[in-house]
Amino acid sequence: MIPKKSLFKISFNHYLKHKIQSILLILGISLGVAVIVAIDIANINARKSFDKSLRSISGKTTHNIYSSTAGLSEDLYFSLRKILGYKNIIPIIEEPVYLKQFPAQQFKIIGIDPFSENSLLSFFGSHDIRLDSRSFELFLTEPNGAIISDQLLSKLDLQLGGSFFLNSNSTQREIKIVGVIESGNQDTLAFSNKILVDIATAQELVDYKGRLSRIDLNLKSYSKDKIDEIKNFINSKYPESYLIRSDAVAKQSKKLTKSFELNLTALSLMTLLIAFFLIYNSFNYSLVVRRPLFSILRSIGVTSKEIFYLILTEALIIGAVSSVIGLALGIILGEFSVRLVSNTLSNIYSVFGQTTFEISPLSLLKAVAIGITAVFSAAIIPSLEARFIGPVSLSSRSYFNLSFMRFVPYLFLTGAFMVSLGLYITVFSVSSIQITFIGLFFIIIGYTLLLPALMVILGRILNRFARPFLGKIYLIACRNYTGSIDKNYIATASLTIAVAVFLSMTVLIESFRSTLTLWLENTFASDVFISVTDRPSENKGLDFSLLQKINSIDGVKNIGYSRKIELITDGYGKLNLIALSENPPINPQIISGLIGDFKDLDRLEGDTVLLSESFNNRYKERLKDGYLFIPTKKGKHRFIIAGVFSDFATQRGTLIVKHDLFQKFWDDNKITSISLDVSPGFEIGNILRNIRSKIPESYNYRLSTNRDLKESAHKIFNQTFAITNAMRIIAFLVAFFGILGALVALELSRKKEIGVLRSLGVKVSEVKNLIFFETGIIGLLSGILSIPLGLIMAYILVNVISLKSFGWTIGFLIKPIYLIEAVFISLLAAMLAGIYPSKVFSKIRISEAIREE
Amino acid sequence: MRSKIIYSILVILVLTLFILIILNKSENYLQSDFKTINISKVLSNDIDKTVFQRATKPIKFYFPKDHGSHPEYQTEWWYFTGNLRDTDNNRFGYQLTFFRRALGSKISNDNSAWRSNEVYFAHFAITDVKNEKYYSFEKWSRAVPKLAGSDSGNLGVWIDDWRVTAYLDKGYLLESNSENKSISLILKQAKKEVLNGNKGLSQKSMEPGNASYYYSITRLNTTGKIIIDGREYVVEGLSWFDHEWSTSVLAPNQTGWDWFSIQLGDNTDIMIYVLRLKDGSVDPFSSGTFVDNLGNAEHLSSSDFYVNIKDYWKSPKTNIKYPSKWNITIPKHSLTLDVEPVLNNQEFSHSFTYWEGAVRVSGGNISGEGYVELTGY
Amino acid sequence: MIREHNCVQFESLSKSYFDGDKEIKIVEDISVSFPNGKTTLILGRSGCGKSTLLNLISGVDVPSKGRVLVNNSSLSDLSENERTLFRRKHVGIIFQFFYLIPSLTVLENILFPLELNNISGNKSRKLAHEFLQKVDLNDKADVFPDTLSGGEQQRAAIARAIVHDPQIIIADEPTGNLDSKTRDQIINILLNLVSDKNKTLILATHSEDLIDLSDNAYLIENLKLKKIK
Repeated sequence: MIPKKSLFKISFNHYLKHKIQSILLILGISLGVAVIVAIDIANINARKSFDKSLRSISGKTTHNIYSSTAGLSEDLYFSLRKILGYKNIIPIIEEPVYLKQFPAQQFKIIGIDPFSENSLLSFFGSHDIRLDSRSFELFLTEPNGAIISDQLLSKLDLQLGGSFFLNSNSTQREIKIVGVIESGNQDTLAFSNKILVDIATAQELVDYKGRLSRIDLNLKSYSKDKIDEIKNFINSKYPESYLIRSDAVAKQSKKLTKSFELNLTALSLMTLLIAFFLIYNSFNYSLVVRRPLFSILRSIGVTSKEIFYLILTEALIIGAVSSVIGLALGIILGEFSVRLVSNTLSNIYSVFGQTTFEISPLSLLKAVAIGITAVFSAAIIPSLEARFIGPVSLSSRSYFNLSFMRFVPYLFLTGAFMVSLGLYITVFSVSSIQITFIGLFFIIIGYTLLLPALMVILGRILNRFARPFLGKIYLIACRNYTGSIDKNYIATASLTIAVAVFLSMTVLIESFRSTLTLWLENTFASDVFISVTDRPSENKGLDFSLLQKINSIDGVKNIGYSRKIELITDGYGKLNLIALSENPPINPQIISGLIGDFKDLDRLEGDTVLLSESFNNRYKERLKDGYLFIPTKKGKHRFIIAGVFSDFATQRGTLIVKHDLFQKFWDDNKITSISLDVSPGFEIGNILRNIRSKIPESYNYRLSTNRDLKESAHKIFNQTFAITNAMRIIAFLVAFFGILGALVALELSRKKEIGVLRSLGVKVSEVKNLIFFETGIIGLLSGILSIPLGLIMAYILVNVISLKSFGWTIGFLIKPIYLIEAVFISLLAAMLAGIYPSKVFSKIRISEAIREE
Repeated sequence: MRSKIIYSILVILVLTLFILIILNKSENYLQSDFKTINISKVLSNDIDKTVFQRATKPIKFYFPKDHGSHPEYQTEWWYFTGNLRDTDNNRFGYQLTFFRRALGSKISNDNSAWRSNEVYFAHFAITDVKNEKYYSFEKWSRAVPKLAGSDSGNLGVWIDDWRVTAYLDKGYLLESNSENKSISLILKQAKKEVLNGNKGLSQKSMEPGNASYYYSITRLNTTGKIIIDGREYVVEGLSWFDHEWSTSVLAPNQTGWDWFSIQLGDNTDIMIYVLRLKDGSVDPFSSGTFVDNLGNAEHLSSSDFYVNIKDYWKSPKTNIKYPSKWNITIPKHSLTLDVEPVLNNQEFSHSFTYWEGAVRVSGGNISGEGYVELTGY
Repeated sequence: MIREHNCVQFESLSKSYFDGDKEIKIVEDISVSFPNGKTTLILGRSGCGKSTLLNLISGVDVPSKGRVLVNNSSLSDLSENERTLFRRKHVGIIFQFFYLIPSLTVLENILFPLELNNISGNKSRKLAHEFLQKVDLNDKADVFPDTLSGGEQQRAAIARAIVHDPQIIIADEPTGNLDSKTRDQIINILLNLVSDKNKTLILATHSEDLIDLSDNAYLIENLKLKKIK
């Protein structure tokens, strides 16, 4: 039913007149939608980053061959090529290189054979390439001809034909740009950091003569038996190499992103929940203020249904408009969120590369739908209320409050039930992470239903204690609180939830921080650390001879070393393998299994390995027998799981073995990091200088003291938790705006009463105090009420969700200061929100205020 | 009232702005068109030739040595064509050509095993007359021994599993296989090598150096197998071998050539190529070779033969119009031959497009067979 | 619509309301008729329930006992929606505090009841201007109510109450908020319009000097309506 033109005009004029409230309303919805969109974009980015970082260059690849040593034999390629009938097989070299101008970014040399697929286009997909015939020659024959993307070209500020330097294997090379890929509108991740060269060039550049990084195969039309034949061939002739399915690695990594995405989505939904209250408040306010108007309309003969539809139409239009604004905001926010997410991805998930920024029409539509739905549902209850607005002289306020009070016990029971159910689901039963989140929402909503009863109790306590201390005016404030529970309910609820979210985030962040600090303390005990800055996938390292050189420095003692390499498995995706010497740089904090520490591995028989906690939790089922298979130079070997250690450095699965075991199974005599202690009496600065002089310039390494290490760890931590922190701030902002709207509505609806007080002789300043006191009560009580919810949420976040999402055990840390902070924030928000109404009331004319029927 | 209108317009403008922002960003999602690039286009003919030797004067040919490759020259090909019949007299034609193309730049020795400054590609085609089918395939590779290459002392060229190898004395083994179509043939020389042009120096245009070294083995007895989609045919017949190397291009006014190889029933073989000029006329540098039944070769100049086109055929795939029936007269030898393709569609269309097909030859009381190659259309 | 002799009737009507748990009675078991086309006064002290009775007539409220009949059909038995629609078509209300819609102009306020009754376009504009003329507010057509004086606002309210040609006009202390000079003016306009169009006017007031100008008058006393004229 479309409202009549005049009704429409009335509504429109109202919003126009009350600009601030209208803006608040639109802002609230926009914010909610914006966060949803931003997080959606961030999630898409996370997903795509993973996909891109793993996908082979040729989209048709079904299998890969890797080697557990650095690089696999090119002979394997030639032999296999023959077996496969000279098709469906391509050789790839993919190795990291560095550009001095962009030290933080990882670039890759990709060596391809343009002839092994029938045309170059399968590599470049749907991109255009600027490549002329002379260039193609250079590409094939020159030791440095490369094709790069147009973005990289502009980043380097060069033209086709120009050259730049890169660092590979600690040697500098000059690269000539012989071709440019036009990325156009396509997502840019595929080629933005890749430098394409001929396979011969790649072999020479990264010192891979005779070797390949991997072989990509398309075995789509091959039967399982045929594939097994190929596997057997590889195992017998080239045991250090192994065949895995391409999607297997991607599948394992997808598991990682899923929990990350889920957390982000949950965060966004929580914001929406808070925004929901905000919308409700604002919308409700606009209706409360118009109650007299609606009464008049009803008297004149407007039916309650017509009023109902009018309000819904308002909601729809506002919802649509705000959603569109929210979309635009969200897209802008999205650019930031993508950056934040990619930090987390690289820090915790070891996924590197540039960020995509993709927005699908679907996610936009979803956000708009959510926005409109939110407004609609927020508008339903007030609209229904409005239906009951009687014509003039019929509605009575106290009547309404009474009827609400009748429901309070039922609400309490329902709320208690929901909270219990939620607690059961989250804390006391084993359920998937999605169910856990649902349980969390049950708890939040259930608690909201508990609130009125709690408000009544707290209010009565307040009344009892306030009486002897305060003047009459303040008594009015206290009485008002208990007398208008219905009016205060929504304001209180939204403030409580927002502050509870704030509190839970604080506890989560601080718990994590303290656990991390402790972990750092215990794991990294040495005074000085030297480590290569290349990433584990690069399998680069320091020379063994360096150990002797450094050890010979006066004042150096307890020298130890480790080696870290990347393993690609189809069962577990990409893993880090760390081999530790005596006096290792890392003291793995063992939390289950082995009694003692790393040294005690010696006591055990067999080939033993330690697993990181998140890895163990993720594959609990598969590892329950106590061993796992890892590819080695001798083929797949069975290792016994001796224990589980705590690891916050990464989400990627990490295994620790003793170095002599490592040497037995992997052909690798490089070192990733060295640790040492400084004997007392020696100046650490001198030692550092001495060490630096012993290490050749060509290495990419970092020399840090114990303190440096911890500082940078904390820096990474802060970066990673930037999103959670952002959530905290948003929670506060939404709380503030929500409260503002609600309290303004509250106070403004008491015009008459204020007018009466003023006419009785109460001063303006005293009125202001009254208002601040009233809002202060709401703030204080909401703050107190938020503590139980906040703590429950914190507990679930720390002990349940973190464990299920990331496999990390985090120590639950609550300090009284957090609780005080929560109450303070609540109080602050409420009091700030009292400023506007108090301003309004100071300007009111008494007669105007009293003039009501 | 007016302020209301202004407000409404403002709101609409703001909304439109927002919508534009959204649309602009979501453009990222739309796909762009699929483009292809062609290696052959990229290997065009504008190459610095000072690095290579050019065919400027006649040389002495040594066989089997000169069957091998001549890396000092930029371009080289080994051309096998043949007409075969199976036991049921079903007619087949085949073509197997290996091309070598040098890239000019010098490369050092201390390199990756993949480093090469030569590229090989090969064309393989089978004509199945009875079923009116024509199959064609192309392969490319860098010149790395495990993948592609050629011998230097005797005839031997390969890309993957397409290869020709010297087989005993004056015998050659041809193998090629692609998508369930394969040939495995043994060729035995029936005549000795024949030098085309001026003792093997085949001048293509005025400019010195715009020439190639070119010889043919005009008749080889062929036996072997053709397998098409699992069906095996035991075949025999005659093959023709061309080997040419050069560092040259077509002259600017030349557009292409029509090449004919004819093997007549009386044991004579004829090779003619007609260089076509852009204005439609025939280049006087066109020439040919007449080989009698004893194997003696005689050079034919462009005035010694006349080629008249009798019919045309338009390719449904490329829409190119090719001549499709000829009448060739060689007055010197009182020959008037009608040449006709056994199958119209023998167009080879991959990185390059040209027409190469088996033909039947007839004239008076003589008949024969051969192959015709039409380029530049 | 058939005009009966008695337009509005209270039949054995009782009305009380609850303030908290306390029951406050307005009238008990009254049967009164309000004749068609006549002006009837309801007198009483402030707060004694005059407005409540008016609400019963307009269908805003329903009796605790008994019935309200309009043209011999029971109004009080109708659903809330039906009563609202009845009110829309057949009743015009004039309030003490004018209650014009602040976000519409004077003209738009007068057009509003017409729009509710699906009368629009030129016809409605003509009618609205006609009544603007009648209450002498032509020059204020496009002005917002908050700029008008009390008298002007009430004049506009009167026009709004009559423009859709309702059978019944209800006025609740229409001059309660006006000075004496304006008061007379308003009463004049109101009564003229009512007699002009032969409307049934039921007016609630506490001032007795209107008794002379009306056809009938009742006083609320001891839970009953005592006829004084």
